[in-house]
Amino acid sequence: MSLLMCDQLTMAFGGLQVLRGLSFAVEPGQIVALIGPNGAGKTTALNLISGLGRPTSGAIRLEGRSIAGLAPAAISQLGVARNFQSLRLFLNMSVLENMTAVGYRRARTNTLQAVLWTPAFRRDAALWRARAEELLGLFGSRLGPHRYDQPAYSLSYANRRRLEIARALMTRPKLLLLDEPAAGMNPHETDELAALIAALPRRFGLAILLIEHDMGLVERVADQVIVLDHGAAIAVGSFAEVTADHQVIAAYLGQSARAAPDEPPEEEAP
Amino acid sequence: MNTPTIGHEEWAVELEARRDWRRDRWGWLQHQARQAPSAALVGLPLALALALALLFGNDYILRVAGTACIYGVLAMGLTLVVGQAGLLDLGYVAYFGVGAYAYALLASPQLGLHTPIWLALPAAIGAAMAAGLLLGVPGLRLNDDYLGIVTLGFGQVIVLLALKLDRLALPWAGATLDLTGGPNGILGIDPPRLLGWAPATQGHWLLVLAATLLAVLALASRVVDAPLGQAWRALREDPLAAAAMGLPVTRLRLLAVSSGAAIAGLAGALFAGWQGAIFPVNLDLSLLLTLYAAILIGGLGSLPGALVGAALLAALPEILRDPALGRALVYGGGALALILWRRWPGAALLAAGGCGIAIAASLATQADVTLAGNLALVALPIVLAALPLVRRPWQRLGLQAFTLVLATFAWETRLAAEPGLARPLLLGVALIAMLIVRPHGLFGRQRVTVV
Repeated sequence: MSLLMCDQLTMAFGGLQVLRGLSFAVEPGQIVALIGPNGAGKTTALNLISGLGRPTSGAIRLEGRSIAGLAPAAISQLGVARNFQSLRLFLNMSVLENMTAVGYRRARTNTLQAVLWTPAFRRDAALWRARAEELLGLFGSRLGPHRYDQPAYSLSYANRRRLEIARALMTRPKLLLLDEPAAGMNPHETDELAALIAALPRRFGLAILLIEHDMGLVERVADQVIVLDHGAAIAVGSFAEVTADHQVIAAYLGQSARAAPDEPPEEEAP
Repeated sequence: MNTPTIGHEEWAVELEARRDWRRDRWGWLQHQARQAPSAALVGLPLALALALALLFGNDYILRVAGTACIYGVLAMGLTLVVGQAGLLDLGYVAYFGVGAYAYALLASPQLGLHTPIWLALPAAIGAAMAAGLLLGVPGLRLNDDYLGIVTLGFGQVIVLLALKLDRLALPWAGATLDLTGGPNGILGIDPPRLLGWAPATQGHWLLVLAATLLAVLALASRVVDAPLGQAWRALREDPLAAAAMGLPVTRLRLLAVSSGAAIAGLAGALFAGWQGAIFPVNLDLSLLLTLYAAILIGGLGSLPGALVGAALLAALPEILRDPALGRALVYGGGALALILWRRWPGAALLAAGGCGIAIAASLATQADVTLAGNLALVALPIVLAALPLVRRPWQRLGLQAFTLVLATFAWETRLAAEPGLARPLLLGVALIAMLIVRPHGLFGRQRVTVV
């Protein structure tokens, strides 16, 4: 059974058809990249999967269970985590608190135990902190201990993206949705991130659905690439396969590119 | 794969912290405050003040201290809702009212009930929580200003109910029931009697109120540090991201509103027992404004800040009641503010102060200065508004001196004689000055918002 199964997903905002019958699947442990020109419906698809909208029609199944239209918090509890393209950190909280705030209701102890400061609560809190430190440690010293107590708003743009990924991992997801994780990073930082993303599925036993415009990153990490245009998948396959596809080249470069199918793939990124 | 790198932003943060420390005295105090645990920080001065009040205080001082305790409990509840969970609750005083009236009905001759405290107090708290949930559920989908408007209306409805429920029609009995006593309120409320002991003097009452305050402080500061408090702050920062991270937004909001309501209900019940009476006037809008002023002065979301703000707002109006004390406070505070502010040269301060006192003294000997004083009062805001427009140094200095003279004159001729007018005016000016100089309050942290 696929981990995530989207079947004939459509989404319309009034008369605007953003998704028209999008179908794809993500297998456990896989990294799937969703690419396509701006306005193709990539982020909308991610929003529907994470519960920030209800699809007009179609089904979304997580391990066979329908999750279309469930509340974001419920979907998160089922094991889907995400970051946000437009960065949604808890800005006025410290780096460490951004991580541990996820612990309410996931921790094994309740507020009464916290108020009474019971040994069980202290053990639990230490566990959560250790987990937060472990995940922040994924980024080496970039989110090292010297930053734990800094407010999130003081972080650089790239560090905010890193913190969002770490925060999403705090929820122990089975499926991690990454919306342009490398946006605003320089080539060196993007390389670093690619190595990290490629290592995540094995290390944490999760699958990743990735939206990214950096084709170098997609080529490095994606097991499967889905190309979206006008709300429908126009090509599915490995990176090499889809970049050779005439339809894909046409979608990225316009109709006239059909005449020149030998266009090198490096120039396809917008 | 990573090498240690120092981003530019770290340097910026450290610089900001150093500047904060040096820029003003409060920065230093705040720095110290961050190091110390908040309970010790507030508990120590609080215990000292209470000991002084109990040892040397007369009934009047004990009553003011008691009011400060009630304000403190209320402000802590409010800062949990508004400062931690980020819900603009303008109906907060209604929960105080529900708690007070519920306790009054259960323990007074009004309905002939004299319920013991261990039953009446939880019932009053429960009633306040129920009122919180009643408002919280329909308000769930509202945010910010909209939530504020709805809760403000709700608060007024409770006041109206207290006013009008003295003639509650009972159709089956063909009679009316006097539930709340209308504008006359409920009188003869029992003091809380526990294990055969009931507070009899103001000193006893202060002990009860202070013990309640400390209990609420301990509980609230634990909750703020607990995962629940973190989740509330996450909700305040970004409800959508909080939901996407699996935090139960609805439940958290209801918990915040009902926790605040429970604390307000507790304060209400104690207030009713302390006063022995409760009136609709006690649920006045001015109480709401006082509480908001307290948590803003103390710093939104900070429990020590809420307590300090509450103590200031309970004590200041009483100090201003006495003309001599009021004068000392105004001139002392004004001089201190000008020295701390440092933008107005000391020469202007001295010149203006001297001029002002001389003019005021000479005029005060004459027959009637009311008209001149009134004119000065009218002119003062105009001059204040003109101040930022003047750019040339000498004109600026002259206008600053003139402003000080005018303010001194207005104070001496009109306001000092009318504390009823001077008190709210001075509090308003102090609040405005506070929000200009230190918008995040005494104990608050600077916050950023991204629009």
